[in-house]
Amino acid sequence: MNILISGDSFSDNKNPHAWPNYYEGHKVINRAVGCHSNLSISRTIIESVTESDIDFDYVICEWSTPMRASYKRFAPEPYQRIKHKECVGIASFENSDVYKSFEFYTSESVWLRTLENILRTQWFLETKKLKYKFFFGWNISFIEAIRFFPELSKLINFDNWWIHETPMGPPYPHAPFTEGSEEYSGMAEWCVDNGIELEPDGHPTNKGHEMFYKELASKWIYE
Amino acid sequence: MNKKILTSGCSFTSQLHPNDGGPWNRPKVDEGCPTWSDFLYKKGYDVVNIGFPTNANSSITRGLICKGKEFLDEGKEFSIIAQFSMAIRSEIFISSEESEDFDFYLPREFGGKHDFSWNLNNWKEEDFRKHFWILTGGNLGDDPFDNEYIVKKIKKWAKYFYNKEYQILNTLERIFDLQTFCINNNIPLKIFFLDGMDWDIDNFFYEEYFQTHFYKNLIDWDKIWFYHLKEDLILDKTRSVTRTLYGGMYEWMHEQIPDPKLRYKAIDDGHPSDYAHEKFVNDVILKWGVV
Repeated sequence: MNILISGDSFSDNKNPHAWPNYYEGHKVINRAVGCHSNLSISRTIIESVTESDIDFDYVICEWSTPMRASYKRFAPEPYQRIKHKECVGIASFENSDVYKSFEFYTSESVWLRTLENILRTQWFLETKKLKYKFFFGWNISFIEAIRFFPELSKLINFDNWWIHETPMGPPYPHAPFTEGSEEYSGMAEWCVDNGIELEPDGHPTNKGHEMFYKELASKWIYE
Repeated sequence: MNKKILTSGCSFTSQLHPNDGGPWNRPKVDEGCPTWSDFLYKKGYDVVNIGFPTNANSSITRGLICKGKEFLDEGKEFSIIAQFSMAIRSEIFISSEESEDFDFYLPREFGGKHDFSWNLNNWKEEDFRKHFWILTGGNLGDDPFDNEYIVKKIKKWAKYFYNKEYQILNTLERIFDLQTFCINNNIPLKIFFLDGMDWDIDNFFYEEYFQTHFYKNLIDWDKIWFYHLKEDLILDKTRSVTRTLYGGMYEWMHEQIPDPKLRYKAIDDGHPSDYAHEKFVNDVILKWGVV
């Protein structure tokens, strides 16, 4: 089976123990890059399917925080996180300069872009009749997107998503990435709820990657 | 003849602004400055026009998908005709919750201090008190807008955020968004452009714009109407229209309507005349097979 993957550091195969590296006997093209924005994730999927000589059988997309933005494909994407209008690290927002101009950052606009990136990828894969699975690396507070854009959110085909139900519920004191508190959790919260600690920086441990693959990702491609 | 048609675009599609009737309560026909969309209505088509002067390609697409979904939810059958504008245009989102300068732009009728500016937009009137868009237009703040704060905002955006490659890629993505939305919902679609200037080889498929190239094979070109202008047109000492394979309404009207008095709404303005708009419907749009 030919599998295409994109996402951010939760899926980046720079970590040899990252979950995409467990697919044995399959050809895996992994375009995930640490700090990838949702725009970049969408573009890498569309570009790979369109430009590659490989006929993909399955596509897996790990979506990231809406606050990240994109620069140029062949330039390193600057890392950025913005919380409460304070920039942590080097910011990027569409053209990397939002850290100079926080006035241009609004939650609604970044959620709108994230919804559009998800929908563009979904519609692209569906018109190409490709099987796919989407999921969140961690709880990015997707409930905000639904609050801001209830009608647009209804266009998302959640039949092709894996979303972690949170049996333990919030809070997640050892999951520093976690932005939301209730619904639409992801890989990080799944690890915590299954008794697998995260790295101190909030990324899944090697054990977390392995279990995530065994319990979930390995099965998706046969659904 | 009463098939529903959803249309959008920039000032080549609607000259009405929120403070004079549109787009929320747009009359079915703008008798003062009718466009191709108005002439379609006059011919008996049930047209809903959400076009807006200064509109950018992102907001044109967003509006059509937003309104299109509303029609789908109501079980309506319809076609879409989208007039795309210049790729350079963008939009800046302003939110009452998060934008500290919200009040600088808010129009008087919504509790603000300023007259309604040409380049403020929202899809629904009732949302205006919560958020709206500042449309940058093609001159990125060099137009004489009536609110100095808007001019400053656009110029700041242009300084820090404007990137030609990004704008070009964004327009290709917006074409793709609209096409896939229509394909997935069986909505007949035709797109045409204001003009062909963005399609010059230096822009859309410029060899150093690495990300634009894969859209060549992704876009359904049959759903886009281009006008092939074979020769440069020298209009007068200062103005000309460049030959192109990717012309829009602008190139079409300059070649098809030689008399400038017949061609322009106002000779110093450049927008199509009523005659040009009606001729465009008769000679071009009605032959597409989407209405």
